[in-house]
Amino acid sequence: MMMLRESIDGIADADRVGTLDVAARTALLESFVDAVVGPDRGRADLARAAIVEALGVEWLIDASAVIANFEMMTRLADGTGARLRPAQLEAVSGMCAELGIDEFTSRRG
Amino acid sequence: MIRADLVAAQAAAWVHVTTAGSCWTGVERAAIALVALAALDDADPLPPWVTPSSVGLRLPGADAVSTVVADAVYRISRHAASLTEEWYRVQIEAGIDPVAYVEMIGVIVAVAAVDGFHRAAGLQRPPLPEPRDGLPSGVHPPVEAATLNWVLVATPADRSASVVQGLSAVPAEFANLELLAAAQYIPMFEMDDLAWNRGTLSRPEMEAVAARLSSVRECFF
Repeated sequence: MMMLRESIDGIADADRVGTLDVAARTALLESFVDAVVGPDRGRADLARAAIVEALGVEWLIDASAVIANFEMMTRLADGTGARLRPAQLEAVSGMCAELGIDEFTSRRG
Repeated sequence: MIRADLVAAQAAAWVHVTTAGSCWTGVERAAIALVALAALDDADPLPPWVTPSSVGLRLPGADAVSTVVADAVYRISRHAASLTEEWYRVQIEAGIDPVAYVEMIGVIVAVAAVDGFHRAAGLQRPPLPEPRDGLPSGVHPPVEAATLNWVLVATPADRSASVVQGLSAVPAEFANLELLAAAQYIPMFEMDDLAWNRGTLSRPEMEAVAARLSSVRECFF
């Protein structure tokens, strides 16, 4: 069990099974995303097990469903050339610069 | 184990992608879906600038659609963030009808959803159903160019968000997307409720997952 926990980046204090605080849950979920969209099946299996262990199988299903939704939406946005409106772009310009996503090929506007 | 609404939405999507639409037959839509699945399954994917046809890569289903379509479906499925407006224009100039392109996107996004769920949850993806007979309806609403998308959209353009109007030229594709989104993420009518959840992930946690996935996929939008 300890190996499993240690293999997942960003899980803080995984001993508090079922009582992870918001920051720890978010880190666990983000690690799950990174693991299951990558090519390493072993890492993905560990990430799924960590979600089930810490939060339950319903969380695995619902987090996977959200991933599915954005596998869908990212292709919709990029396949149809979806753009933000100028006011929206302006509103998020600081955040985009901070996150470095202005460099994405998919930036349109 | 899996919510009934989610099973139903994804099962309906599988039938949807193998049934004739506005521009493509059921066989052609199933072929597009098969190419998309092959791209998603490719353990050693081609780089974005290399088309499957240029290296003689034979893709399941590719015999039922043109080479231009098969190559485009592979690129969109596997490298969506690399697409540019110039690339889109080349596809249209190469012979893909602009409304048929929108329908093709509708098939690809549904495939990405069903594949994405099973891949993430570590479950076996269900096989595509057999394609259903039938001709495309040839029916679509009046369309026009938009400023918020490359693709043609239903008139009047740019009244709704770009991701909402992106499939509006083929309303059945948007309806399928809406059905999937309601089961996978949030029902459209609940979108403004920032506290809405299913008793598992909170709305901010859903957004964290969404943001992380979008970042991994390098989707600026």
